[in-house]
Amino acid sequence: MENNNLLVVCIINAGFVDLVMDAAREVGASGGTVIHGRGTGNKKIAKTFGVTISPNKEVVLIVIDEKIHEDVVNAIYKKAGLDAPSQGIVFTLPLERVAGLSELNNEEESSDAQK
Amino acid sequence: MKEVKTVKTPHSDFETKKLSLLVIIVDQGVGDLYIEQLGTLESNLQLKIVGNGTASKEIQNLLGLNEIKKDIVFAIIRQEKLDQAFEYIETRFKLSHKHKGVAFSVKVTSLIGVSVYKILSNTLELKPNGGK
Repeated sequence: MENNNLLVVCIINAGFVDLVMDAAREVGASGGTVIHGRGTGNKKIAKTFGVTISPNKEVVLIVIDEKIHEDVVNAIYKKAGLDAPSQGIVFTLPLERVAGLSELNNEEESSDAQK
Repeated sequence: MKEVKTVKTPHSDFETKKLSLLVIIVDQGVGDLYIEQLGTLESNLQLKIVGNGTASKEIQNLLGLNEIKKDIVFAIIRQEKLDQAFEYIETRFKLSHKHKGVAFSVKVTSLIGVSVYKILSNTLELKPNGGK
């Protein structure tokens, strides 16, 4: 069974989830899930590059359609990337199978198929 | 051009079954039901953590969702068992809004340690590959 979904993983400083979700929603992503974590960044690297690394991190997981993945990744990186206060890292993983995507997405797909 | 040599590890002489990482995101409190079911599907490793949903207020109202805390279940399962796992998950998702969630699987591309593989794949003895 062919699957065209990807998992977007976005690791950001705590407190910037809305920034990421707003950016992702603007280009067509639906919802996401947030996990709290703790960064273990190298202190020497932080000193060399003159940045402060906040240990409190949040990981945002968003399942998206492959078609919009470049838009989503670019939008997130523009608003919440390493140069922004959120210091975000974004990457995607190919998904083998997916179940339970929102009803709204299914409605969109069925209306596209009817056209 | 430098020739690239492939090294055959001793483990490739045995038949191995492919594994997947199954992730299930559901409302808080519902995750244990899936963990229990995954146990019957020969999955020997499950991890449950608590996260937050990010659905906007409009969507929450539209779908009748009011729980924002989520259970996130990570499980390692054999790929041949994925059909059964997803069948169960999809049936449960259809039960009610309370059981609605998202599930997805990612292929495990590498793993080290024979014992670790045996535990994760629920295999007691590795069979020889027959020189393939």
